[in-house]
Amino acid sequence: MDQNVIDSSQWVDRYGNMLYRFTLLRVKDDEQSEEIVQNTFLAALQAKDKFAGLSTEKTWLFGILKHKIMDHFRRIKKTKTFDLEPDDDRDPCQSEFDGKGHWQALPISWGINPQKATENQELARFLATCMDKLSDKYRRLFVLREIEGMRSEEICAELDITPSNLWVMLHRTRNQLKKCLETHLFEKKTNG
Amino acid sequence: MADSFREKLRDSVLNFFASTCKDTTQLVSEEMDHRISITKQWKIKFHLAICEFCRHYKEQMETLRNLAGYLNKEGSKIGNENQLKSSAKERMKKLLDDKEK
Ligand SMILES: [Zn+2]
Repeated sequence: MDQNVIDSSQWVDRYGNMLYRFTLLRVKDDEQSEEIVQNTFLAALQAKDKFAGLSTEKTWLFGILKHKIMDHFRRIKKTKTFDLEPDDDRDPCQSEFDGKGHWQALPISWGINPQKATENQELARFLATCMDKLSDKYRRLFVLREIEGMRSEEICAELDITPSNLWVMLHRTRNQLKKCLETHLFEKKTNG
Repeated sequence: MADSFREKLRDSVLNFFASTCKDTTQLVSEEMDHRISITKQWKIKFHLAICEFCRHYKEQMETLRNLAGYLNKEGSKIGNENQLKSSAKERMKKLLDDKEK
């Protein structure tokens, strides 16, 4: 099969699930994800003649999809701010410190080498579940920063956030996820 | 005389670098998002050298980052159970087919 040739009649069967999973991880909502995938196919069909065969069909479709997902975030920005708001989720680790900034509940080692964390499929799966417990805004910021790997300057510019507010929100998000993952790790240990 | 000066100097250096665990966790996270000042970098180093708890925290943040990166990998198989509904697939196929004509 020649990878550099476009065959739109095969797109849905070949790439539909792949593109959908990719979108769902970032967008969370299944209907919106479906719509984004559909718009990606339609945009690809329109731009078919511009496909230069420099990349594979798959890479090309994913490139279009990424734009569509970012468009989706930009649309949200028009109605809801991404910047820090007073009633945002608080830092769940705030209560872990006393008035002097010392740990009250001392962190214990997870017993996981960070470099080998990805060998722990179960933990990765649990992170996906923990992400869905975040507020929509914090989830989106985490996705862009840690899943998509966007630089924080880019995120600030795209979504009109001041850098220091972004760092505060990401710090809170990470603490929420840390707590959630710990629940899982702790449960596993007590249950054997 | 000289000794007391040295003591004062030592105390002010220690105070300059001293930060609480709470501040350190903030800095550790901030460092994951942009290049922080040399002073902040030293504050982290200084604190981590003497505080195993914040070292655990830093490790946990790194674990979190690596796990998140892994979710993005095609081979991760995480979320493989999520598939397009067949009704959606049919709709998309039809749309593409109609436009293609
Ligand atoms: Zn500490």
